[in-house]
Amino acid sequence: MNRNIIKNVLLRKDLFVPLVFTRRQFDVIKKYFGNKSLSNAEKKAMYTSITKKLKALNYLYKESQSKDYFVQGRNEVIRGRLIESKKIIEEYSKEHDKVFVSGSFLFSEQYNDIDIFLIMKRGYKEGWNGKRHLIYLTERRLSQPIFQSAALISISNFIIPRKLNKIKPKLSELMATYHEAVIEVLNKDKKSEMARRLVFDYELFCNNQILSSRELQERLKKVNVKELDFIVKKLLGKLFSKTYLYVELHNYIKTLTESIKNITPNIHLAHFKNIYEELIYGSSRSQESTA
Amino acid sequence: MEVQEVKNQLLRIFGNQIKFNKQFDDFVIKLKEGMIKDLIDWCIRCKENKELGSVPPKKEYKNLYVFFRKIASDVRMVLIKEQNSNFIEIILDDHKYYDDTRLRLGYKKSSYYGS
Repeated sequence: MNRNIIKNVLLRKDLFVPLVFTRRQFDVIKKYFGNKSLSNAEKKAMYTSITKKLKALNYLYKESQSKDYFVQGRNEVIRGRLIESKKIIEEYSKEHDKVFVSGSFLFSEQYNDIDIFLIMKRGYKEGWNGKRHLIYLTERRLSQPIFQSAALISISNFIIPRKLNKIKPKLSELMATYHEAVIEVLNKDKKSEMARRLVFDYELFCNNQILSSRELQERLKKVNVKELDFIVKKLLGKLFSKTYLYVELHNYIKTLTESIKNITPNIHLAHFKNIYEELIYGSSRSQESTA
Repeated sequence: MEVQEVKNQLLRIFGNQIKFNKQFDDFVIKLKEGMIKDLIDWCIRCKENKELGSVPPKKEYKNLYVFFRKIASDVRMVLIKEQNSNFIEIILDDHKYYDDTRLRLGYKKSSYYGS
């Protein structure tokens, strides 16, 4: 709920009581605003009649507010999309204080969906409304690199905070991402999600740079297995100690050796084994035949 | 295509040992006919060793071989096989359950924004 609205109601009691809120309802709002605990009856009043009235007031408040938009990466944004995004923001800002639009919709003639970010007080969820991909998140979560990247080319009704919270991925996660990225490239998948993630992590952790969606799109056009190999070696070397890598990769190489015997086609597994051997022993020791 | 018909086709492909996740039926209903056909074709290719899968990074699952596939914007599929043996599990679910399965096997969450 918009705290500004509640604050204004509390400041102008004479305007709102008893015409909009009863005295009793006013007291409940006051307690709610002061973060005091509400009785069951008060909670019921709060979440039924009071909330509905406040929502209606919020709607009027939004309509009357001057409409400021903040555009990041203006040179990248297609003009028509800028106008369309403003309309989208206007539509959603009736329910949500802070909204922004990002993704390929802004800079690419062809796009799959429109990413709309809606700031909530708590929780995280995603949903779809036709082509609209709705991402509900807290302001705190915006500090994650992926959202900071989204913000680089975006249109918002608030200033998106530039805070970055880098969390080092686990070794198993990075290895799995690399494996899936290589499979995507070998399969010539149209949307290489894992290759995208690997390139993003590489730039973030090795070059301390956040790539925008557009930069990522450009990078992915040129990505091949050789580059993914280079990236994973650099990333693992940067994020984990030599000893830890030796122990973990040594064990995984054993697993791969067994798997290569059991699985066909196994050309990708043999390739992973070579790369991990090069990383910890300095050169590949493999002599298995692949199928 | 009816849900039971899809299940029967998959049972014919993989055998009776294959297990379906609880929500399987609910998600088959959501799919268009073309998507179901793609899904079945993909399963056949996995069974015929024409698709590349991966070996889970977690030690306890090193005997498995796993295939992932995006079916629709919010529907994902995981196919799990025992190495040198049968396919044992089919998971067709939303992004949340898909991510939980990935994490359980030691993979990273998929690349939705919340990952």
